Amino acid sequence: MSQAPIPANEQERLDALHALELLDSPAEAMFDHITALAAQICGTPIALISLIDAQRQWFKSRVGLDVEQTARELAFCAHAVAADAPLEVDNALDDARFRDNPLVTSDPHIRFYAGVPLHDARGLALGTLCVIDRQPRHLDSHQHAQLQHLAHLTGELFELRLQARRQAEQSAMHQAMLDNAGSAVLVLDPQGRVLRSNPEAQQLLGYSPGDLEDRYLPQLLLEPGQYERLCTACSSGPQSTEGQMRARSGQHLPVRLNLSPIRAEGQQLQGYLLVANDLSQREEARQRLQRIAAQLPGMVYQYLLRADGSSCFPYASAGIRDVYGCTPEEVSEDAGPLLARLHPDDAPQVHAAIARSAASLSTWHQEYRVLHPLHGPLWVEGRAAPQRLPGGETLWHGFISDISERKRSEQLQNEFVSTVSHELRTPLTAIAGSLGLINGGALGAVPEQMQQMLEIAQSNSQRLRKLIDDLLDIDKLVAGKMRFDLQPLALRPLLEQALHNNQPYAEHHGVRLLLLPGIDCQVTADAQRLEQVLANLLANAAKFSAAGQSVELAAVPGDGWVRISVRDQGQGIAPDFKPRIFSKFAQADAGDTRRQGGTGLGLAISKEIIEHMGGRIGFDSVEGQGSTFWLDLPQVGVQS
Amino acid sequence: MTELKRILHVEDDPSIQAVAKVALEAVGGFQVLSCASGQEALDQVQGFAPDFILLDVMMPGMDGPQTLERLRQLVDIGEVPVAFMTAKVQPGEVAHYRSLGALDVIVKPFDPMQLAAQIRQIWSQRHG
Repeated sequence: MSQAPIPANEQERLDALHALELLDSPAEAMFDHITALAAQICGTPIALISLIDAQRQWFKSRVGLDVEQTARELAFCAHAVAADAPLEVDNALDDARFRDNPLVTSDPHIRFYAGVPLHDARGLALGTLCVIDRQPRHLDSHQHAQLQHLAHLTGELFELRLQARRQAEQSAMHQAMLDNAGSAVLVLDPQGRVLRSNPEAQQLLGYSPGDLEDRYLPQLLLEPGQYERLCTACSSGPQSTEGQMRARSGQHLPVRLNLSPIRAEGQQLQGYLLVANDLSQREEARQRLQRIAAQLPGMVYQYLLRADGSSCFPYASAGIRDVYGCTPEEVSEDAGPLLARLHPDDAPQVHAAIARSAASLSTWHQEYRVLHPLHGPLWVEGRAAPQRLPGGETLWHGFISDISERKRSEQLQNEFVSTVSHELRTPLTAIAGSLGLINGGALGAVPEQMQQMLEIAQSNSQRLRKLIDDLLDIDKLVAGKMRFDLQPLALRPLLEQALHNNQPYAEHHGVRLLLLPGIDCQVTADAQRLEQVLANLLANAAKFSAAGQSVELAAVPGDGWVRISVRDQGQGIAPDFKPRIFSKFAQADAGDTRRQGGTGLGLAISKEIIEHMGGRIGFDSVEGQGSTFWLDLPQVGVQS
Repeated sequence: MTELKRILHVEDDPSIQAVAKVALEAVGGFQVLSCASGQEALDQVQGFAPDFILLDVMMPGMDGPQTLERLRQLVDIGEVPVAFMTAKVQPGEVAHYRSLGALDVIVKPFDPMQLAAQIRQIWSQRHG
């Protein structure tokens, strides 16, 4: 017995055989029909589809034989595969290759064998279609040709079978996807008839499985013509829109609809895939927000500033009509129509504050005027917290309310303060003048006790005058009516002057004022106003120092600013007073105030003045260790 | 150089008028004529023939600047130096009053013991 040689492309052949997923698979009728046909055509009792793997021949289909496989070295088919050519053995006993083969000498006692190689799509020989008899015989040419055809057919079936398996797998995957899509999905034919629906769709619309099929989508959509419009638009690609669907119960459901055409490449439209997402929860949340927002004064909103500088209001409550005179829809894509209604005098300040808030992610808070198309100019107050989005955009969440009424009463109050202060001034001038003349000795000597009382009257009229001056100052500052003459100023002479002017007051408290050495620099400021602030800080420092202590005045330039500081060695500032030290009429302790004198407006005025000059004011203080008040002013240049 | 002796003071508030009169007469040693309105000043100025005129800015009827304009048109009075008295002023306002023809501005409330000296100083700047 001679064994068939191993083909040169054996590994490639084996890989191809395994790839077809035939080995050890159950019998399949289509192959059994082929072997039955082969046996019938050739008149043999046995026909096989035999596949040769590394160790054996295995029969995918067999007629007239009980064994499922044999060893490869016994296989006649292995010879046909090795030669990759049809093999016909009329009588095995006459063939030296096979006469002692156990398959010849014992069961099934093969005498006749004819096999045709089976090829895969690439032409690799995988096995044979063969017919076997226990009698010697010979096939005629007709039978040969038939067997060849059947072998071809078998090879093609191998390929088709594999494709069908793949398609079945894909189909199973699609089904799983459809069943677990998390959204309602309908597969439609081009006319909109439902071919398939998933459980979500059935649940959303309230149908039993199978009930949606054969219904038409246009009947499930509330808006007439919506389906047709979507289909038309679909010619340029998938479409998405919002709409309402009609449930079986008749209820209307808000949904987002996504419609995509289904089309195999190069083929006609097969239909559409419709994905519907239930928006009821969103809609409920929207209505809840709307109802709550309607109860709020003014508007609540989201403002989105895009990376390219454009902006819009993704959400605005209906109150936007009262504040800006526009609708939420008008500004949902572009804030332009709204921004155009900012008062021209206030717009730069509003925009600058938005930019600062975006840069530092700090709360935006502004009071400004809006030119309302129906109600004329309004004062509004807005406050919003920014949030940075991953795309670099900034989104604010906030509210804006109409504060015109408050502004009007503030203005009345301010006018009242201003009028009253002016009216107080004239009689006070007369009182102070009269007392001044008497105490100055212009009218001769007065008795000593009377003199004492007259001096008390005079010093209190001076205090009253200072209070009125301060009230008028703060009034003008807050109303923006105080004019500032900002000039580049040499700082050193100004500090020397301030020291000189305030020295007598300090000496009165037994306190020494010192100007620390330093280089001269130029700042941008209004000289008279700066003097006023310095006088206030120096007077405060002297007032809150103990006799014998000193107060240091210094100026240090740095980073575009010059810091002027007034340092005392006094009692320092109590922690609970720190937050309101710059507020109007704030004084640490009412009882202490009288002893220290002062109006309680000095620091509030100083802060307003410094900020109007583009500077900053602040302090550092540890209770019991003195205080340093400082102000930063824009530096012009450094002089050597 | 003329000596500064006679001052015409125009002021609607009688108390301030009285204080200024004492301040200028008792402290400064001047001779003062007080008028309660611009019109009164116009009526009396030529009879008094002042060396110096002190004008309140805010007065009912004819205010300080209007009075000054009318005074300038009078024979023998057109050249008499004038100072305004007014409440605390902003820097720009002083320039404005000067442009109207005033020599200077005396800020209210004034120090009555210093008022005479202040006027002398303004006077000497003019004549110095």
